[in-house]
Amino acid sequence: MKKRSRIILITGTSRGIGRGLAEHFLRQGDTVCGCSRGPATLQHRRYAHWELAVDDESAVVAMVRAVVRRFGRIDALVNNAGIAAMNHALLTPAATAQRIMATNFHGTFLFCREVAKTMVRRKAGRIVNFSTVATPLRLEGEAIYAASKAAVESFTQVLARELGGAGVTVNAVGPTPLPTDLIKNVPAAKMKALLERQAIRRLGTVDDVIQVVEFFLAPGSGFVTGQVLYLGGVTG
Amino acid sequence: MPPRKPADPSSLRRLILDLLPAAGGAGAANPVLFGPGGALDSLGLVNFLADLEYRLAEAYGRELVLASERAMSRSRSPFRDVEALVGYVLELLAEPAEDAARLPTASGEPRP
Repeated sequence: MKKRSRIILITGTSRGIGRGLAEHFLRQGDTVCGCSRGPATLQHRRYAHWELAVDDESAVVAMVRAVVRRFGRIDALVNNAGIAAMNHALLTPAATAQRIMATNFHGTFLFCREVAKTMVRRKAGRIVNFSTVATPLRLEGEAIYAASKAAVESFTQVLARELGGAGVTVNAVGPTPLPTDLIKNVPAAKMKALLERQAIRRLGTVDDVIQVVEFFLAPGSGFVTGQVLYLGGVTG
Repeated sequence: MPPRKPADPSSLRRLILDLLPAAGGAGAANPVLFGPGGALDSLGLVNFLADLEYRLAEAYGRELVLASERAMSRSRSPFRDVEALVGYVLELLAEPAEDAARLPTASGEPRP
């Protein structure tokens, strides 16, 4: 039987994991609606791009409703967009902390709220949020980033309960560091020490993340919700 | 999305009543929506407001978020009964729309 094409909304699709996820789903025959602060870096006949900041409420509302008008539904939301700033907490400007919380938590909240409204109406849908191993590992130098993702985890678990009766699952994936822009300024010694705390001591790959996201989206995963799955053998 | 027609209380009331469950007191003069004796439980209210936002966009060309800070901070909830909701939505519709040029539009024309 031919697999049904899914309508998947992914945030932060211009590069890194988000772009990798978008390319993966396009290869699977799905339709991907993506967004980033800048123009599309991906051209495909089943890809549409919105240029927005994920913490801009009006822009998020406009995008989600445009997707629903065009395709009639959203099967899955993948809240990948995120930013990090490695710094000692005592040296972190307030504006930096606000910016990280706005993108990582507020953006995740806004997309969850707007997309979940459409999923609840259909009594079906999958939401995958993004955490990080920096949260359970309590990584020094990543206080604000880890705190923003702790907020995402807590929000994920409460939202899973609020939507549990509506056929919508909400989970989170916690990647290890990947060779992306987010870690390009992390000193090698610090990265080595971080990897030493994982059960499997290597950088992650986009495919590692895709595997977890596909598990949460799989038809057989309808009883899996409120979970945070860390990669690399890190435990919460 | 261009405005399709001006909002008037009676058409808005009809639109809201159409979305209420059949056993939700739609025959009453002013059905209670939420709270004691209300037609909707908490998940029902979520569904109802989500449906209403989409119906308002279709009918009036406006992308409203009904559960706004303004709605939540009122001492009398605009979601308590139909007349309160009609008044609240008319108030929102009377405000200038967000500058459409500021909002994002899609690039790419995918077909599933």
